[in-house]
Amino acid sequence: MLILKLWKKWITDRRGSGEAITFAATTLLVMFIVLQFYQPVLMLIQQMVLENVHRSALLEMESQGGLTSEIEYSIKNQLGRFHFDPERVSVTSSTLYPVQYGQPIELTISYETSYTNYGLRYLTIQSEDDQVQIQVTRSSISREYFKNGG
Amino acid sequence: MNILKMADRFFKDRQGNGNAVIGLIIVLMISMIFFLLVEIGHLYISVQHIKNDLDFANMAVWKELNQDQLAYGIYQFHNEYETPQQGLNRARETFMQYLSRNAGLNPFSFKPIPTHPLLADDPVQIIDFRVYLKDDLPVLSPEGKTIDKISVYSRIRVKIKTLFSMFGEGVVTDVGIISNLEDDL
Repeated sequence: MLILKLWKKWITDRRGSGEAITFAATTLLVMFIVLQFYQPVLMLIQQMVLENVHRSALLEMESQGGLTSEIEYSIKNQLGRFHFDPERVSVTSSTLYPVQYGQPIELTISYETSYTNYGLRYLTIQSEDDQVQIQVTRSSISREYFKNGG
Repeated sequence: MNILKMADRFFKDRQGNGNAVIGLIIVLMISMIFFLLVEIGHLYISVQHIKNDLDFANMAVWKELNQDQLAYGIYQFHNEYETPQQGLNRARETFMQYLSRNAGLNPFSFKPIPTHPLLADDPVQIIDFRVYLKDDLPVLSPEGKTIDKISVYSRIRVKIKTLFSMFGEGVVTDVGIISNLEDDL
């Protein structure tokens, strides 16, 4: 009963209704703007992490003469520390270990992630997920000399 | 009905219009600042990506060193049938080959591939490419940094795609890096 009375009092109160609508609309607008920036910022951070991990892994590959299982484990471990799902990380190299000194080595790291798009529909914020792939591929040369020709 | 009445009063109420306009402008300005910050972050990460492409292309030049002479501690690119300039040209070709491969460029026109995620359609220009061998050291790089180890310096001009079209189609910038090769031997 008390709740009903309060509700009736609130609904029949004609003071400040304009401000209430303005406040609700502004809150919705600000929330929408903040949500719009969340996903691009998250993607930028993920790209930066992937870039740095790829660089250190390719330098390691140069000195070891190709992609070894230790380097692959290290890549997934480093990405895991930044909350990348190891199941979605793919590490590939078209140049098989061991690669002789001066020959090209290549490393590709890709990550499947979801990109959430936010939109306004019927005055509510709705989200829709897309699958996107972040990928870094780069080549260098092997600096390891294998006596038996690799 | 109450909601309709409230909406009717809201639209008929002419008090506080100025405040609403000022509030809207502030919200728009804050959004613009957010857009700008995200765009700057995107450009920074793109430049770091291109720097890495350039760095590994610089380091690939090392494969052109004359291995026979290297065994005697002599650093040179040319072999006994070549002039020093021909050796350097070969080093430059290797640099260009690895740069085009790493940065996703057409190896002949140096235009980015059509689906390139970072670079706009304009061809990438090689502004500078220098190799500093033992005899040249110590030396100052074009940016004024002291180079005291065998290094490769390169600088390219690229057009990076913007994330938000309100900041234009792309930003043209120079990216340069000195790669120290001696420590990796």
